[in-house]
Amino acid sequence: MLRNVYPLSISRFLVYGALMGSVGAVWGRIPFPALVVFLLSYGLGLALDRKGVGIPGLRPRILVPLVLLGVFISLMGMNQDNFFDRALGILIIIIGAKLVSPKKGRDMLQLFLLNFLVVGAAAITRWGLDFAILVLVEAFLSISGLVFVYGASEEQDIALSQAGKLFRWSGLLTLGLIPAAALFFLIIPRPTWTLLAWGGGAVAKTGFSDRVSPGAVEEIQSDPSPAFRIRWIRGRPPERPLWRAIVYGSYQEGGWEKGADEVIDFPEGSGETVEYEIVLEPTESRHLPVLGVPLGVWSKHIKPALTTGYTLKAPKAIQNRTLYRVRSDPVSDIPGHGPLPYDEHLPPRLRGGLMTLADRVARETDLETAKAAEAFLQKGFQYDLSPGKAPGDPVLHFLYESKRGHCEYFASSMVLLLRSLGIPARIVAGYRGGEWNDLGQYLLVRQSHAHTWVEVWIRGRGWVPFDPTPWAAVAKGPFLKGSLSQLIDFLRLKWYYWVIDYDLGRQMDLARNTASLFSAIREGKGKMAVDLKGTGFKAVWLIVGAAGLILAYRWTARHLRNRPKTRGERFVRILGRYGYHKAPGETLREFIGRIAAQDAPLGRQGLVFVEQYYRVEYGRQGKAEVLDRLLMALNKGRWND
Amino acid sequence: MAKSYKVKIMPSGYIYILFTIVLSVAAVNTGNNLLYLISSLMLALMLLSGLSSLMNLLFLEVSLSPSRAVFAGTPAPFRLTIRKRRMESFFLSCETLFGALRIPYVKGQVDKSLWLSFPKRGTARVDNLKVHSGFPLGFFKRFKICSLDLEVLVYPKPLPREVPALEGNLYGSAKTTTSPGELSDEVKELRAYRARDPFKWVDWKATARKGQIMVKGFYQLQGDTLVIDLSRKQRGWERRVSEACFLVLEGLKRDLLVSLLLPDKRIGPGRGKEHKKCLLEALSVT
Repeated sequence: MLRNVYPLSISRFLVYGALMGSVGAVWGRIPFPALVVFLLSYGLGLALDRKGVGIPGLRPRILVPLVLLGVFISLMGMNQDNFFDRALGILIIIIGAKLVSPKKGRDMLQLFLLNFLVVGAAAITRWGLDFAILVLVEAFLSISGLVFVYGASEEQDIALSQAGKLFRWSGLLTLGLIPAAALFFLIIPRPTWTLLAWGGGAVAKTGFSDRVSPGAVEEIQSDPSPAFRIRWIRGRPPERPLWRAIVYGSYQEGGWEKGADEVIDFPEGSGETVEYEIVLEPTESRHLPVLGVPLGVWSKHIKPALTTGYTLKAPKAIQNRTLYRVRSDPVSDIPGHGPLPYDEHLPPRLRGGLMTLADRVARETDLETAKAAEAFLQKGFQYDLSPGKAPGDPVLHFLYESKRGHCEYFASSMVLLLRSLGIPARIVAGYRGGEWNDLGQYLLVRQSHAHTWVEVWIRGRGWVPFDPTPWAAVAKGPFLKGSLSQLIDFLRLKWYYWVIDYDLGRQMDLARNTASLFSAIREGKGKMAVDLKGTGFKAVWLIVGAAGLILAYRWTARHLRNRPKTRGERFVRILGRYGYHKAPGETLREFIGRIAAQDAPLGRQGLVFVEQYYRVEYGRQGKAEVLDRLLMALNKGRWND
Repeated sequence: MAKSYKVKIMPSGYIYILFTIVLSVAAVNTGNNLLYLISSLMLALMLLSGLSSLMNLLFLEVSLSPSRAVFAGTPAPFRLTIRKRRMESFFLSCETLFGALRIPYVKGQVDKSLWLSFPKRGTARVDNLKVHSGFPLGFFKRFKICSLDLEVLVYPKPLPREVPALEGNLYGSAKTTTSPGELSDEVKELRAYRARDPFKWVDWKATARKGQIMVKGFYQLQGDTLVIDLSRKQRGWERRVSEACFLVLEGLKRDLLVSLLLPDKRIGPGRGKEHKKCLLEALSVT
């Protein structure tokens, strides 16, 4: 039985779905009264639409003043800080009013367009990969909805099967939207100026501050969320990289305070250099992780400076995801000025307590002493991310009582032990290691990779790194290393790299690369300078391959479905190539009679086949091979013509 | 078949373009890449919508032919055959100067009745068929003009009037034929051979097909004859032609022999489909 459906009803339910997604994405930014109005309207509109009735007495002349009242209230007290939220509230109130009004085709169109604006608002509050998913879902719902709105303007009701086909079309349109939108996104010019910049929606992590205490490190290390990602551009990545962020000099009351960090010029590189890009997650810290000695840094959004500790420091906290490119000398020994007074400072009240242990690690040279102290701590103490609150000084408690602690306890103990022996030492905070993502060819460093270690001043070498924390104990985060989590993280990185941080410079690079690709192709394969096996091209090949497979499947399926099953069908198909099409219900004799009236030779040839065909198929006389020969002759005749 | 494609932006399309511009300006103004992304999506949707509407009308072949006699001022069904050689089409509107039809879905070949109404008798030309659709989103309407070059002979609108008495009246006279047994040239039927049927009446092809001797039966030119006399053009000519058309139809329905006298033509008495066609054609173009 044929069942019909109402396209307008389908579009109504689609608009409810679309609004659920978009309003859900900006939920936290909608003023409470507007949210209440929206929720009531949503529920009421849904109930009324299901019953197919409207609110009696609700006329535009009643509704419009109510909406204007809501808008007026929202406008009151609007200022630069709450402008976005209030404007969003107004939009939501207008949508609410539309939801409880009668919904004809034009109203549905307006609702879908208003929904676009809500999605636009979500672009200001959500920057993550979830926004991409939201946009795709919204695109499908909106496109389907608009298709059905148009369908309703043409036909009041349509067959259920046709509705299914319209959904399929909408799906294809949504899929087609991805490459087309990507193309537009890449080529739309990006001006270098903006009039009004909005902050990102991601929550900034605490990160390392100018003062660090054991509790703060604990907090950072227990967080498995990404801290930053590194994409290698040039040079060999080190096996166990130490990402230096901040150098602490003086020890005060169980915590470390940052030493002097005057701005210095970037040094000239000597020897091997590496180049990499870091996508840093939002953080409240101003310190940018970096490998070895930075020789230069480039960024669109921030202007980091090099400090005396050879660390990078931004003018203010990094509140948005930020990309910066660094060229580094990946040496482990950090050069620079000699020790400053606080690098040797030891609180007098600790000296007595430390001396007993310090004597056990003292050796002839500073380097040997440092190695002995490192070994002593690594062997005799246990790693514990939650050692508990220490009574008195945490370092003394760690060394003599608990003998358990996390990296900061180990590093602090080593620094203080060495200082008690007169050897300058300091704490360095940053990140150690990372997870290599094979799929994306980048290194993911999480907050749980946060680490503190020791740098000891060795005359003739500079600041030499030591890590007294047992290696095996560090960075055992609760993260997954499966291919799915790698894929998700890879997509996330691509999202930040190609969408969030896409700018004029990247656009110019893309244009240059495209131009060089075309010129390389024009010059010939032998001179091709473009790496056709690069990651970007892999993606292109993947898309082309997938599209090719889909086309091949569709062609084969159609070919098999439409393949003539009998000789009679083959005959009709061949004549179709001559431009003659059999009408439904027409017999072969009638068909060939019609052809004979226009093309006598073809008609004669066809008649011979038809007579023979009837004999073979129905009279069980004659030979089928004759039919095949006739068909072949008829088919060849087409080409001979 | 000559064809051309045109696009018209609908009011909803203008609103959509306005929204796209607003979001694009917001994107440029804030430098927010996600707003750029939404603007790109809206631009891409515009592009794909245009392509989809083109694909909706691509590979379409149309043909139009009258299904039965066409009388002026009376809607007549025409057989509209739409063939979509590839893919499928949604929500097509087919329009001519004389009538329109909506087709919700086409895949393969679809035959529909397009009712056309021609205001005047005579030869009417249906030069082209405009196929248009706003599919998929209704923002843009795309048109395809399909050349038809169809010439339709429109018979006069039958205007009812009383069939005149046999003694004759304004339109002519009715009389009994003076030559009983005289036969028309028009074949009335094929029937089995009867004794004394002349052999020249035998239809040899039908005989071979049926396996028995079949003969052609002809209309007899015997009976009452309605002579419709329009040999002089007078005032109210169109009305008189319309009334004559009604008389032709009514007379033949009553099994009268009908003859027509026109200023430039004279058609003798006769019966049958061919005769009817001949009379109506003469009335159409007179």
